[in-house]
Amino acid sequence: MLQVRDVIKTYDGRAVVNKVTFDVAAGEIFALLGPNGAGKTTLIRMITDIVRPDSGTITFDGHAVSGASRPSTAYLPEERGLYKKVPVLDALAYFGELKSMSRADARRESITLLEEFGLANWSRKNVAALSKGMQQKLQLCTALIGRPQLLILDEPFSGLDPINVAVLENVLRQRRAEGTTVLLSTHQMNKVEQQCDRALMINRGHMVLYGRVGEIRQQYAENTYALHADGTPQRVPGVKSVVSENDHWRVALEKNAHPAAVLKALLDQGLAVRAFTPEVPPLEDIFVRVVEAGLGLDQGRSGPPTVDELQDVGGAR
Amino acid sequence: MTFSMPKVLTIARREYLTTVRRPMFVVTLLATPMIFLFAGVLSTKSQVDDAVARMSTARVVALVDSSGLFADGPRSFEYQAPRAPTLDPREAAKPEKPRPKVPVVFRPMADQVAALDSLEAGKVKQVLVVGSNFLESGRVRLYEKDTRVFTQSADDRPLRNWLVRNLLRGRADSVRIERTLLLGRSMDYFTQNPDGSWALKDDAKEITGFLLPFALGFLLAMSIVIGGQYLLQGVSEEKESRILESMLCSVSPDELLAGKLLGLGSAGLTLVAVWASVGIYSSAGILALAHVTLPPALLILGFLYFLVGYLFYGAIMLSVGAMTSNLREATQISGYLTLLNVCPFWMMVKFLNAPNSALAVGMSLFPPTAATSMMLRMSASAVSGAVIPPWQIATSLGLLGVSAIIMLLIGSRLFRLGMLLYGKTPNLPEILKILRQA
Repeated sequence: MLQVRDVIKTYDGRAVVNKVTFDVAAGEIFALLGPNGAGKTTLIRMITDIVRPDSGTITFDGHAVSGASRPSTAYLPEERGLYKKVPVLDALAYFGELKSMSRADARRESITLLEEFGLANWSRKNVAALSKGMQQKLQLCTALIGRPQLLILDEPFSGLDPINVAVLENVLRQRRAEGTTVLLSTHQMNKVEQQCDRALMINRGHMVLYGRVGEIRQQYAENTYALHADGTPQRVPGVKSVVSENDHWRVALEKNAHPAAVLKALLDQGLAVRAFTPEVPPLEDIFVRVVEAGLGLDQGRSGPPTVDELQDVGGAR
Repeated sequence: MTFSMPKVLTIARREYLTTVRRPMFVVTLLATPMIFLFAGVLSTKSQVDDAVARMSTARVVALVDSSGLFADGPRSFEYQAPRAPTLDPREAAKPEKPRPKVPVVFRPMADQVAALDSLEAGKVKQVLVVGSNFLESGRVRLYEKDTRVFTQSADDRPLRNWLVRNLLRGRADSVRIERTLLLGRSMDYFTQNPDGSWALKDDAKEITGFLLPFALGFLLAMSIVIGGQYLLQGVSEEKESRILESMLCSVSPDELLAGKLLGLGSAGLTLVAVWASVGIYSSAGILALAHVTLPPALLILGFLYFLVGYLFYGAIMLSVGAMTSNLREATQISGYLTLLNVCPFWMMVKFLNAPNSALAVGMSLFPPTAATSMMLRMSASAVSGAVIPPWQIATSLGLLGVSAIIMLLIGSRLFRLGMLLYGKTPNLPEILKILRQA
């Protein structure tokens, strides 16, 4: 398990990562979210021991990530490159060897990965001969080779076509099943909703959201329901507003209204109700609301904001 | 992260193989000695051709003899150059090739004005003016329409020959005249060795005394520069391609740095080893002829100076590569730093004539110039027999070694953070801040 505790990193007197605390369990896909400049890259560089925190601890399975017993870690940064003038197989196997694999093992696993990502026929070609998408896949392979215990991927879906996105998703599921800890940093919120168990969002170095993805979304739900029905619903007690949206109605309930009572009242009107489901905001909306609210600015707070705080700063619908 | 030697060797192997397999490496390996050879042959051949052409063409000379000393001299003669001395005894044993004869025709003129008019009109090739006070002054004047920058002593040899012969004609026998003509060429010049013995200073030793220090100093300077340039190129390319951040998960910056230094230094050393082998093999004859043997200590010290000098400049190049945003910028900055390594060549004559002069000692103790300077001094001493005090060699190596360690520590810090700085080259205050933060 990756454990990050009260980590602070300061540059020029400004805390770019400020008392960040979170855990990532083995076999979990964890999303690290935040706008550009939020401090994600610095946080990842501290986890990978490229830079050291000013204070706080980072451990993996109880051992400091900077020690001799550091975990085998792979990091695919957002800004990434490859050696261009070497054969694909050699370029990949080199990364395997750097992860302490024998040359034979590194080449063997390279071939398996290249087959998995559909690059086997290109193994003897120079990297420069690959298309941009192929190079993206090869970069992913360089992170995956050596079966790292901790896999950190920054925007791994960028540049991949839908078929290869599916391949990567499948690989991530496999690695999760094998117990690999996956830290995923992305701005593609739909991928977070589909792939990740839990998420942490930081903004200007502060934690602003942290928890299970479903619970975070639920936390930001606003007592609003989607009503699919034949006919036009009338105003009933406990309903704040009813707005028509495409093929359904959007029914906003008052704060203390009970959904079951509202549904009964609607049925009592003689409305043929086909579905009455709570609306949960997509993560993308929550992301925008949190960032636009500017929460996480240096207010001396390291925990996530409350829903009331978000609504107070104009985030509520 | 612990320091893993197998990872260092993996990086070094990749850096080495990638470098030596590059077409440019092979081109450099083969082209550099060929360029020197080609330039040498071309330059020598052009000079020889020019001299042969001048010596083969009949020359008509307007003679203005106000002294009257040469009035009875023959108006035409054929000059034959003496046999050229050779350094190679096998060459000397070969039968003599026919030497060209230069027909020289003198046309007496009444005065210098008329003679120069003839020269302007192209009727004569040269004008030789012997003044009325020749016996007092000993000076003659030679006029020629010549656009060359450098003239050769062989050019006026037929005229000097004619002047000497006719000046002594009737006053000395033919044997004395011939000896007088060859006097400058037949003098054996002895110089005293540091051990008090006297040794003949011949042409071979003189040439070796210049070429050996130059060649060994050049090889050392080149190997340091080339190794440093490979480092600079490798780091800049990796920084531009943004590949390092992925690697730094698996290897520490120090392992990466050590692997690069080892691999690319070996690539530079490979180049120099090949060039040196070719050079030593091809110059073995002249070294033997000059009775110069390369002491093993010179070669061992040369290797040590390469090692420490390469680490010193390699660390600088790594820092420059890590701190700059692209190869072009890195090359510009490194160019100035490289000048320090080669600047002892600017004072080479001083180094060769006085290897223990204050300048030579000072530069061989100053770390940036120490390696090349000491190699020039040591190889000059190998020829001349001068002795370099061992404490100077030890101090020079020690200072350079300490400087290399300091530069490696600084380079390691700059490399650690500089490699992650993209798109901007920090200024000096920012570099100092990085050093404090690392």
